[in-house]
Amino acid sequence: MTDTKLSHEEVSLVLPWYLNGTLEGEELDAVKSHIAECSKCAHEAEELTFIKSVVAESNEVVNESLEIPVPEMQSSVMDRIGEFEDPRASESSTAAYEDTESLWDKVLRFFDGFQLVSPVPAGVATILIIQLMLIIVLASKLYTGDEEQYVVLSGPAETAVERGPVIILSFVDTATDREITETLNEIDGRIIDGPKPGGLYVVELAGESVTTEDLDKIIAELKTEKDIINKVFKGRSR
Amino acid sequence: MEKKRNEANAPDLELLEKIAGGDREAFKVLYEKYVRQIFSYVFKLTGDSKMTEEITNDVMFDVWKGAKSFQGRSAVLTWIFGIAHNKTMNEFRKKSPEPVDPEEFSRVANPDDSVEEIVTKQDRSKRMKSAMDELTPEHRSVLELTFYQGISYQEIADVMDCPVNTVKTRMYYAKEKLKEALTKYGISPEDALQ
Repeated sequence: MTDTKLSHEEVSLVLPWYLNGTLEGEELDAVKSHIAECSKCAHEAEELTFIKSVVAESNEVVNESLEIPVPEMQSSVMDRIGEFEDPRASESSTAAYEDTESLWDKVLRFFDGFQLVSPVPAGVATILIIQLMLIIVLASKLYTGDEEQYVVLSGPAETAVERGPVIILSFVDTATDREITETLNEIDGRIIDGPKPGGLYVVELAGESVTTEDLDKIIAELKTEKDIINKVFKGRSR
Repeated sequence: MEKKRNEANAPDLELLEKIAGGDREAFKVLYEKYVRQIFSYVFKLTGDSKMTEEITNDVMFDVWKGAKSFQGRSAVLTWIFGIAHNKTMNEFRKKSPEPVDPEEFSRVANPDDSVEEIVTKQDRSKRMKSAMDELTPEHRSVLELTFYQGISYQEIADVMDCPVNTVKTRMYYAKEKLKEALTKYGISPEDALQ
């Protein structure tokens, strides 16, 4: 037996892991000797045993209704691995796709089906040409017309004020919250928008004094953080 | 205990070494060994089978890509759970761009349902599941990893990438919230213990 003593609060916090059998060493001995004498802990242990049974029963409900399509999922991930390891295979499949008939070929083939003397395509072509000419005439009139035609009813649009330059980046899926926060702290940046499609975030760098050179340096540094950053590039300055 | 865990981890380490060398058969073995466990864990957090399928396969694809960089600081399964947990939480983040405090955020069942209605609607196990569903993903996760997956608090801290003390306090709040939810669904610890 060990001399390590734990307070009731300390024991109470680790009781769940005493019950799941993962405590070990001196901590296990200390918990054992405490609960042998503590009626409060005995009651808490009973409550936790009940919680454990709730977790188990609710899991049974979920597992009963759960249908996992393992073969399909496995086949899909193996395909992904195949593409990842041998990108040439996927390139050749793309090339095969490109070899198939293009849209323009299809259009030409469609018109091949008509006789030149046939009145139907000739009529359709005439209508299309007239419509096209009308569009060109109207468009040119609009551009050369009086300026009063274009009256802006609203005032100038207000845009969000940004204090520093902006970069756009995305994080790798395995990046943890802590890593992301630390990385942002290192560059003195904060997320002001996102996630956008592709998991992209807009990050504002604090301070107006960040020069273009500083910005390039920051981006270059971020690019080396391959475990955390997926993509990074300059945002459009406003 | 630790010896037992190391023994259990040894075959996984062997598989991972082979995977790092590009052995697809070894990957298939590891995939079949853990895919159900990971799927079930993610599903309990998301409740969406389509999303769960995608996340699970992303996790396993990351296992393939990351096998070379695995440093053995935790058991292989803990490492895989860690990837699964991160990906799932990232999905939640994508869905809610505003920062959410997991301790504060909790989904509330239809407040119009009286206890009697809820009780008569569902049987005991389903009511327990409904009570679990009211917890935040973080709270469900700590209960699931402790009582269903049976892993230590140090390993849970690795999975959730947080300090050990956070795991312990999270467990405390998870337990309290679950007790409240169980009472709402007509199940009290006292009844169950009788």
